[in-house]
Amino acid sequence: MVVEQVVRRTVELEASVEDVWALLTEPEGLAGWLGEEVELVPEPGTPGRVRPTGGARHRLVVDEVEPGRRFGFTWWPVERPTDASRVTFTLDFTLDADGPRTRLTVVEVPVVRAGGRPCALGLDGDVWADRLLGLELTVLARPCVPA
Amino acid sequence: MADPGPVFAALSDPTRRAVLEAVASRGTATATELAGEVPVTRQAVAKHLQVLADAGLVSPERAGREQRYRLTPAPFTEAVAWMAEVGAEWDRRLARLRRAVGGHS
Repeated sequence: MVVEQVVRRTVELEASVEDVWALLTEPEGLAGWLGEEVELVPEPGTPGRVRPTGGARHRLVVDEVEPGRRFGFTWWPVERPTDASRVTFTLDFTLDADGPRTRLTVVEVPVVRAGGRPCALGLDGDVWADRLLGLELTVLARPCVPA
Repeated sequence: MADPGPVFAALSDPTRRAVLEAVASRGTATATELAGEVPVTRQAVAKHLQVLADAGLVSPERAGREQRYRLTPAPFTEAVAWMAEVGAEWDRRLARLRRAVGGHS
């Protein structure tokens, strides 16, 4: 099954996979770009916390750790625990004439609660951004008929 | 900002999206009217409409023996706003990460 991306970004970084992995999974590394007050141990099922830069304090639970390849966690604002979403980083090693590079992809999807248990949306088909914007255009182009 | 999860969940099913688009093209519709436009039974259409209603994407009103559904597009706007806001946050974070890599590598 193809997993949908709701928010997806990819960047090419001029660094080795090892260096990027450290920036994603070590509190000191995360503190340099994600936020402050980072508490994180990169082991599945481990709780942690972070205050994203300019944002509210979040709690998190590490979902998956595939060293040098994938790292994911579910996080939610402390004040709004129902607004959880799942963040997944995927790293790909590339090499060019200037040296090692790492392609980093981050995906964030909302978590819906099914039967009281949170589960991230795993969906078939097109990318959400295109789909939702297309639907929105369809809907908004046809205003609701007055009652 | 409202939790976008129920909207994305409601729209995760392709038939349900087709039902919603059919409602959008009509403005309002009943399950019976839509059954001729999507390749599922009237009963299935009615279930899809209920899921869409639970997510706030359509609103039911009594029309004789049936429910007539009307589009309520506000949740679309909220879900799109969530994508834009979260995407912008990642753009800023990844710009900082790129700078951090510059000093790291």
